[in-house]
Parts: sequence; structure tokens; C-alpha cells
Amino acid sequence: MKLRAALLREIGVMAFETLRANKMRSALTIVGVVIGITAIVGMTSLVRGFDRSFREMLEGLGPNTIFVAKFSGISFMSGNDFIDLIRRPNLTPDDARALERLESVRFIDTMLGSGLSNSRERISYRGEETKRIQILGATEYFAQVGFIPLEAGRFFTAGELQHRRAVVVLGQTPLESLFPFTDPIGKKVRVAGEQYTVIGVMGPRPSPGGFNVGQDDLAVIPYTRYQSQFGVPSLNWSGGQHRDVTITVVPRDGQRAVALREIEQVMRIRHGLRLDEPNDFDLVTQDAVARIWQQTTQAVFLALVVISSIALLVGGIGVMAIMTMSVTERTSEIGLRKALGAKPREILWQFLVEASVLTLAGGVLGVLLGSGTGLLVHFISGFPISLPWWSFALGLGFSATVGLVFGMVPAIRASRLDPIEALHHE
Amino acid sequence: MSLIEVEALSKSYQMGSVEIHALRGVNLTVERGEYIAIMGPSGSGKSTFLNLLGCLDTPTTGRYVLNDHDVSSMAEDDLAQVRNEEIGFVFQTFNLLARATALQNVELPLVYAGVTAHERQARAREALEKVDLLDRVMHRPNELSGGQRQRVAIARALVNDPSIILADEPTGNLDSVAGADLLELLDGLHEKGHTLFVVTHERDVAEHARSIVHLRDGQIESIESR
Repeated sequence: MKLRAALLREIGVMAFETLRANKMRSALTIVGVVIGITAIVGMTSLVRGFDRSFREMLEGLGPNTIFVAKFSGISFMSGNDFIDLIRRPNLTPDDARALERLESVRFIDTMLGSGLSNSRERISYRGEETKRIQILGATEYFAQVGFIPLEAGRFFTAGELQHRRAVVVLGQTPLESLFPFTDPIGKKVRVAGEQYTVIGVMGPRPSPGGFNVGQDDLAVIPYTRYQSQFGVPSLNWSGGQHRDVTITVVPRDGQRAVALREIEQVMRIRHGLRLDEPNDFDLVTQDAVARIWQQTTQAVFLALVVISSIALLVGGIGVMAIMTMSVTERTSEIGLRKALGAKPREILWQFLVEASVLTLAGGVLGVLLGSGTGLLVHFISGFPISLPWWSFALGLGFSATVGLVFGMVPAIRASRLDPIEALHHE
Repeated sequence: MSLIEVEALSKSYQMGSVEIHALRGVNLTVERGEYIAIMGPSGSGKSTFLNLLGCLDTPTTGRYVLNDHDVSSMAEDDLAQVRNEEIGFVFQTFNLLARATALQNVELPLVYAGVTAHERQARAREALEKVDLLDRVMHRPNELSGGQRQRVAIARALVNDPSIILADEPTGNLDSVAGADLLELLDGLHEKGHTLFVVTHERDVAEHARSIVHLRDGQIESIESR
């Protein structure tokens, strides 16, 4: 389709003037488009922002870290029944000790008190008491494995772990409620009634979306001490007793694949699995979690596209109605233009451009409202957002396309009008 | 070669089951610079003849050559181009774009001719000067009198420097004073060498022309030279 550039420009100007002359009608017509594009741009900014901060948190775990778990999201994704998962054998601190001897393992952390059956306890100091927070039993490698910086003091040592010393490393929440103004190091606190010495303070921990989801409501003690004070927390569930023991392995540099293979072998032997039996434990790595996360965000995006499409469809039908009216109203103008030498495709383009200028205006408004919504949410709640340029391009592209597609039928009608009849139309 | 050669021009329409022969075998030769009035009672075929002359329609049979273009069997796009380059239309109801200024209205044919914006403005001003409306360039139609509107329409018809100007009842919507002014303007155009066709049912309008073609029942009844 050949169309002179000068004419196209002229058509664009004419389209703008027509819309300016019919402000109210144009505004009402594009409401649907505005909503659709606002949804696309706004939701994209929120979903993308959340996605990015989740990935950052995930990366905080370290690319090589391997979690050994009784079950995880991965086993649900592969269609296992919850009852079967709960009946799997529990992991024990002994499993961790066995894995510790592997050549490929750099260090290993055993964690009690995380997961499903986590018990929440209070810590008190001189009459001050915290709310119920998570008490974790861990090894001396806890901070290294979780990449958690220490703000003050030190972490406990292998010796303290071995001798079940009553030492505690506080998270930010107990620190703030018990020691707002004083140095906590060396102070005696009570954890669920028993006396502990504070030896260190952990810095703030990352969380998905930057929300306070209680990620700092914790204190860490040696897991040996934890076992003697609390036992291994367990949960009974339809015939299966579930104990929460999480083993985190950091392999030596470049040994991740070897470590994964060796851990799998050791665990299979320890659980007495025959060759034809599947694993009854999960090995979770950062990339595996990232894969699941990606599937989830893709599903969210898909839902987003469907919702926006419906809004755009409604907007498009509005555009079609208004353009059909416009063609009828301007029949004699179309006749005149044809008499003065407008070719059918030039009339066609005039109405197509008019329709897409209309929807594009809606798109611009939608992009502004959508990113405005994102920014507003960000400033009010601190929710992380991302405003990628492609979501603007997508919004504008979609809105212009809606105009082209839904303006097509009225535009074709206009281009096919008989000039004589159109000229004498009142 | 004459400017216009019309040979055995016929046009029939299908109206339901009835075939209407609006025009049956019209022959006419027109030289450059002529001023012709077309008269006839309603149903005589004068509108059909005007539409064919204006290349808004194609004949059922016969031949129509305008300025060396055989337009009788042209496709729609080519007809549009001939209309744009060769024909200036003046309508009874003016047919100006209400939202556009006088200048923009006059520019319109040049838009479809692909003339640049700068040259368009210059030529449109020139055309408005010819109809003595330079002081109304930025006015919109609703700010102009009927006579002024029709003069804008004539400027629009002149702007492309067409071979022929077709005026369909140009004074039909004007009072007698404005009508007389307009006819004077048309006389002036004729004197400057433009070729004019005026369709009218008013004898005193037709008398401004150099020859009057009388149509009846789709045929030329007589040609009256003056």
C-alpha cells in the first residue's frame, strides 16, 4: 500500500483535530483502552518489581548452595501426594554428619526449628520480653551458608556447638525490643526460660518484596543445645511424624555437580533405597527454585494478559461503535473528499489513523496512569516496582493495534461509499 | 483535439426490477474556454450527465474523453486522480468542512495532489485572492455569509488549476444579491479563459453562458448558442 508521506502527516493532523473537536466523546470512547493499558503497565511494574527482588533474594542464597530436604515445592510440582511426602523418612543431624565427610563439601549447616513445625518462643531480659519469635538451632556455619552478615559480636564456634553451650545470636527484632540503647554482647537473656549469653547480632535479612514478613524475628542457638532444650520438633500428620531438619550444603568451588551426585548417593544408602526406588528426599538448588518461580510468574503474566485483553476488547468495541457513528455523520464529508480526488485507500487510512490516534491517546493515558499507580504503591508501601521500557512500548503498541483492528470495519465502509450518494447525504 | 469529446454516452440504473435509462446516447464536443449551461426538467438526466462529466461515475456505454484522458472505462483510483487534477466542483450546498478554516478548505484538493504544506498555503491564498476573500482566510464557514461560502467553494475549485469547472445549481442556496455577485464572478472566470459547466433550472442563470444545452428524457433536445 503506497501512501504519500505528506498525506499521511496530513491525515494525522486531521485526526487530531477531529478528536479535539469531540473531546467528551473521544474521552468516553477510550475508557476501556485506558483501563486495559493501565492494567498492563501497572501490573507489569508490580509483578516485575516483585520478581526482581525475589530473584535478588534467591541470589543471596548463593548459586552453589544445595538444600537437602525431606520434601519441598519441587516434590509438589512433580505431582507427589502430600501424605506420601509426610511419610518419607525424616532427616536427622546424623545425616548431616555423614554428608560432612564428603570431599566435595566445603561446609554444612543443620537447622532445627525452621519449616512447618517451627516453634515460637519468647526471649526476656530484665523484665522486658519479646513477642514470640523463631528460635533456630544451627551449626557454626549458619551465617556463612545463609550469607547473613553479623552486625556485632561473633557467631558460635564448633566447640560451643559440641559442648551445647547456652549462647545465642540475636536477629534484628529481639535486638530492638530488648536492647534498644545498650550493647547486648555478653548480656544474659532467657530463651523460653533458660539462661543464654548473647554473643552476636545478625544484620537485617533480605525478604521477597522487601516486606517485613518476620524474616528478622529470630534468634539462633547451637542445634545441640536446641535438641536438649526443645528436642527435635515434630508434627504428626495422618500417620506420618514429620520432623523439621533442614541440611544446607555449600560445596567446594566448582564441585557442585559432584556434590549433588555424592549427596544423592549417600542419602540413598542411608535410607536403604533399592536401585528401582525413587529418591525419598529433595535436593533443592537456587536454579531449581528459580525455575519454579519463573513458572509461577509466567502464570501470573498470562492471567494479566487475559484480563487486559478483555478490557482492550471492550475498549475496541467502543472504538468500533464510535467510528461507525463518525462515518455515518461524516458521509457527506467523505463524498466531498472523494469528489476532490481522495482515493478509497486514502479515505480508509484517514479513518484508521483517526481510530488509532484515539486509542493511542488512551494508551498514553494508560501508560501514565499505570506507571503512576506503580510509583504510588512504591512510595506508600515500599513495594518494589520495575518500569521496563518494553511495557510502555507494549502498552502503546497494543492500544494502536486496537484502533487499527477495530477501526477497520468502519474505515472500509467509509472507503467504499459511493461519492455521488455520499455527497447528497444529509 | 477538443477538450471534451462525448460520444453516444448512455447510463442506465437498475431500480429494483425496473431498468432506468437516465442518459441515452449523448454526443457533445466542448472546446477549451467555453461556458456551457445545462438545463432540463427534473428527470431529464442532467444530474447523471453532470456526474459523468465530473468523473464521479462511469457510463454504461459510450465514450468520454477529457483532456486526452479516456475516462469512460477508468478504475476508481485513476478516476480519483482525474477528478483531482482536471475538475473543479462547485455544489449547491457549498460542501465546506465545518471545522476547517477557509484556507484549509481551499487547500483540501492540494492535500490529495500531494503538494507540500508550504506551497499549498501559497496556492490557496492565491485562489482566495481570485474570489476576493483574502480578508476571510482564517474564518470558518459558520463565520461567513452564504455568498462568501460559495466563493470559498469556487476558490477550492480553482486551486488545482483544473481543465473544467462544474457548478451544480451554484446559486440555488443564495439570495438574489449574492447570486448575482456569484454569476458575475463566474463570468469573470470565463473571461480569464476557464472552461465552465453550470447545471441550472433557472433561465436567467443559464443566460450567462455562451451556449445552453437542453436535456430531455436523457437526450440532448437542442443546443442554444448565444
